[in-house]
Amino acid sequence: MENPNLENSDKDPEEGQILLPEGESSEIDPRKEIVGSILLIIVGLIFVIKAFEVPFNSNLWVVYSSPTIFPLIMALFLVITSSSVLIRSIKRWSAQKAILPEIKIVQSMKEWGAKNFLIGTGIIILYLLLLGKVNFFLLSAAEVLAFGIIFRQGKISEALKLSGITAIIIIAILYIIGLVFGIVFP
Amino acid sequence: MDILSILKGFGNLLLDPVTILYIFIGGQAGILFGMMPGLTTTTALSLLTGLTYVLAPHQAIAIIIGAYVGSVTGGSRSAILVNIPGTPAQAAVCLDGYPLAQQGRATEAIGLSVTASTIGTLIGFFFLALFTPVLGAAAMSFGTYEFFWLAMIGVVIAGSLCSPSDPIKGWIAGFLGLTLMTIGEDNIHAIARFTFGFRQLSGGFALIPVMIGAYGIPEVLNSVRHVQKMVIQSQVGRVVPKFHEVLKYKWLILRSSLIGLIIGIIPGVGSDTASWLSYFTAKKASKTPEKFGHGSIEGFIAAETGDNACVGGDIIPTITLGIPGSAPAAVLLAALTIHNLRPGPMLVIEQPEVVGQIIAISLVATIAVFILSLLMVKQMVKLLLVPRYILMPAVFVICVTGAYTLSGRLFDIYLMFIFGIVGVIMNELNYPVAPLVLGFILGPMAEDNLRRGLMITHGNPAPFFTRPVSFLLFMILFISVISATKFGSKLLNSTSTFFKTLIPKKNKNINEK
Repeated sequence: MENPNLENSDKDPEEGQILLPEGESSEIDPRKEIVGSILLIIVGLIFVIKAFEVPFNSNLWVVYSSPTIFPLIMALFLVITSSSVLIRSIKRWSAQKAILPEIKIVQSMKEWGAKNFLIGTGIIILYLLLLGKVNFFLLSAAEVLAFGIIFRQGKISEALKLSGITAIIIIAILYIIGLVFGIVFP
Repeated sequence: MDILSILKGFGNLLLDPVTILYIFIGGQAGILFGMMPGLTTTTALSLLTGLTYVLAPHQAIAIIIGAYVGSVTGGSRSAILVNIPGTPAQAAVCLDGYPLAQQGRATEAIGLSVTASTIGTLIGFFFLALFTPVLGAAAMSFGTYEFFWLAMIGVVIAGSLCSPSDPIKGWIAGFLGLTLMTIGEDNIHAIARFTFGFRQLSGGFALIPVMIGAYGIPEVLNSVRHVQKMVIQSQVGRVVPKFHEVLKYKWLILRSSLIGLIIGIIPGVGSDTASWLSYFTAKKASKTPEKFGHGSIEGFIAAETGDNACVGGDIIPTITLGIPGSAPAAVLLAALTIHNLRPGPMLVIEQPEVVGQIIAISLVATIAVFILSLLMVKQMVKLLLVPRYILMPAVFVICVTGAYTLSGRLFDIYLMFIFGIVGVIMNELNYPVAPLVLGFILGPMAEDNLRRGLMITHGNPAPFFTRPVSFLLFMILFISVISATKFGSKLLNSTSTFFKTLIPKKNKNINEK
């Protein structure tokens, strides 16, 4: 159903993954799948290799009770299942090669909203780097204001007002929570 | 554990106004989180678990359960008014809730929603009180071998159900969680594994930063990707409960509640699945299926009741088996564990008063959320108009606080951010996050019981397959994996076709005789 109340609606991927209504498909570009499964295989292989660095037999344990036996099994499962997705995606890719649209990195990044995403991530990374060095409340207020001003939709004065109010409210809430629950902030 | 423990829990709760106040605070926070599109129940519970760490266990649990019930109920506000589900569970509510609002019946829809939610939650909690002692007693016969399979079933079935169109992705997410969970010292020999030279990793990943990161951070970052603007088109007046109207659909409510309850009990499957399943079942059974999607009261009530009854179902395996019924229940499990209450059969047997208290808190939370849902409706609805790019950075600050509170380490905040990025990537590649988190929660149970079981038998794995309950659990796991594969579903189809061809023949033979 089209949603008239949502501009530039973007489906939020979710925690529980709703059962898809009939007709909807969750299939994604096989090239994306290939990259994803390769990443997962690498993660799995790193754990497999690292698992072998710990001896499977010692005076404390034997193979079946070794500290790395469980992670080794799980990492192998991860590699096997991810390889299966990789093989499937390669097959799909070769079958659909002719009809798959050409990858236009700049265009697809733009459509995905990469610019805003990177700016948002940048602000967060800066915030994380300054944590513990600058007063937590000041830093948090600055973060809320930065988001509000950079991603504003209307006038800057309105964005300043809205994010200023939000910053004050959130700091007041945190301060009260800190007082009541005795929480220490970074 | 018996009814006396529950009554004792009630008695203690009624004499403790501070805990009741915390239930109301949690309920209100839950409603707020629930109605904000993009903020999920799990995020709300993860944040509150971090923030309430310093409270006494029963008070922290009061806030968390209050928020759990509140967010599931509150999610319908935005579904009805702006056609955006507050939580994924309310996606089915949008289908008929929003058309009702378009017809100028928003107030009526909210009244129906609050009532159906309350009835659904109460039915769910009634069964929670009924089943918890029974299941707890049954689980007493479980040993090391059975607990290993239970943990594996939890992760694998969650994987299958969270990614119904492509179960292998759900399993991969689960295996990733089970693998990453092993970073740090193991529980049996205290040997540091996979620390990659980082001293901070020797303690492993703390659950709360992982959960806040995986659920909360992607929501914050996605909110700025495409800026959304919401407009509420319907006027909202005073909300009046519609008990008499809702009770006309008592069989529909009962059926949807049972669906919600059963779905809730299955590990890893949340109220979203319950909501859709209740909706589609109601549509199939309805005399007026054509009205579904155009403001059908039946569809609306079914979805609301189903997703709320699921809460009770979710908590049953969480308390009795130590296996969360859903992602929010996983946070509840983590919260209980953080407060030194180890959910599982032993909790039911050794500390029945705690279980009684949880059930009592759940029931009071339902009533609290019902009262709160009828208050300040107009003001609360205005909050929906706050742009997400203003709201989400504030949520991020709460995320940071929640992740930091637990151990006071900046490392946990960085960890939260890293898992946030992992969550974004997983979402983009259609890998569900719930099995990953469940892997972190159930991983220690699986690993410790596998190794312990093998140590008992000196490496002989036979008891994992030969003990009756172990064998049954293994078969459940095996069939659920096989049936999710192409080969397995073909095999199942051909088997059922074979049996179908046998049945008429048998009848025919009887007739001939």
